[in-house]
Amino acid sequence: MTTIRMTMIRRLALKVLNAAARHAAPGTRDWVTAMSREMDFIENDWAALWWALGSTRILFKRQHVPLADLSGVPRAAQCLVNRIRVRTRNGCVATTIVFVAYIGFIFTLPGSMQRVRSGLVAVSMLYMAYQIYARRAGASPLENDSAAWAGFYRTELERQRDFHRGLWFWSRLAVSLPSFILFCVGGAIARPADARDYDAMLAVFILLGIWSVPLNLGRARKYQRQLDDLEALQK
Amino acid sequence: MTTYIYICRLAPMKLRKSPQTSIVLAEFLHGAHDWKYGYDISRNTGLKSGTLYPILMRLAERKLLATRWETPEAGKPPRHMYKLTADGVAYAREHAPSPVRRRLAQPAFSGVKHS
Repeated sequence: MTTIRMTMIRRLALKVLNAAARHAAPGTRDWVTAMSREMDFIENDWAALWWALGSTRILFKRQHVPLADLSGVPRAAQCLVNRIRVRTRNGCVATTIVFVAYIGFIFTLPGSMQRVRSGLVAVSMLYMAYQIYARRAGASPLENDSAAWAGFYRTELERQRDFHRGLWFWSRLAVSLPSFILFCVGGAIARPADARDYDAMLAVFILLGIWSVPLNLGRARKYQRQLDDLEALQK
Repeated sequence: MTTYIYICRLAPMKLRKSPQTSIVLAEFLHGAHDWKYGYDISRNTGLKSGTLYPILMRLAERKLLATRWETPEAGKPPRHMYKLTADGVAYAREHAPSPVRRRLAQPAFSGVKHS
């Protein structure tokens, strides 16, 4: 290995890789470390920077880390609970903000039909908030019993898997997306002067609706994979 | 519902057969029994790190690729090494592109010397 002089570009590359390693998910951290070790063998500084920038793409990967044995279940369950708590908090805040905004529209928008449509969006947000709250994380077992933790982990995984697929997911989409579409289409018809704004909003809502399908089904598959791992360990 | 669950379980088993994945598999078939380094694969295939590593991760996740850390020598940090598993070799033989197509790939960091 030749000695490589630390230029500003190379230092920047190292900073990028270190930041990526810090923010990488546990399952992908090893891969970012692997990328950073290769840096010593890239002599060209710009090539090193491009190499380092590639590591940021790994940050968007959430590699599945299978459980090695049942002793890892309490930690995995706690991680899951923490993630669900963050989702519940963020989800409730987001739906409340949208709910309040559309309740405000009921009193400010001209035209009774547009007010009704605003009300529909507000109701759909209430339903979404209910779903998020109903699928909040359950209470972790108090005792240090591995069987209790395994049972708790399994139940949580099943609840969260079902949140992202089947009736829970499709009803969420079926209630929220049409209400937004009705609001935008109705707004564009009622106020032709603002039609372009409403069209842009409509496009955003439709894209978000389409994007939510693979996102949610992917999450459901991920939870199913974790359930399969747990099942395999228990056998 | 049963079919749906079945599909959900099967879906993650599939490996996206992108042209880049095929190029990586072909590269591994050259000396299938040798351990390879990430940077070397990148140079030989012309793939950038942001493209190459997600492919390596997917291959490893599906047990087609074995990974290990090089035994560290004094003063040198260990490097991550990769080799196809037996299943990986079989999969690569099935899905790797022909040598003619593979030659079309340009080196990623052309002009970079490698020690």
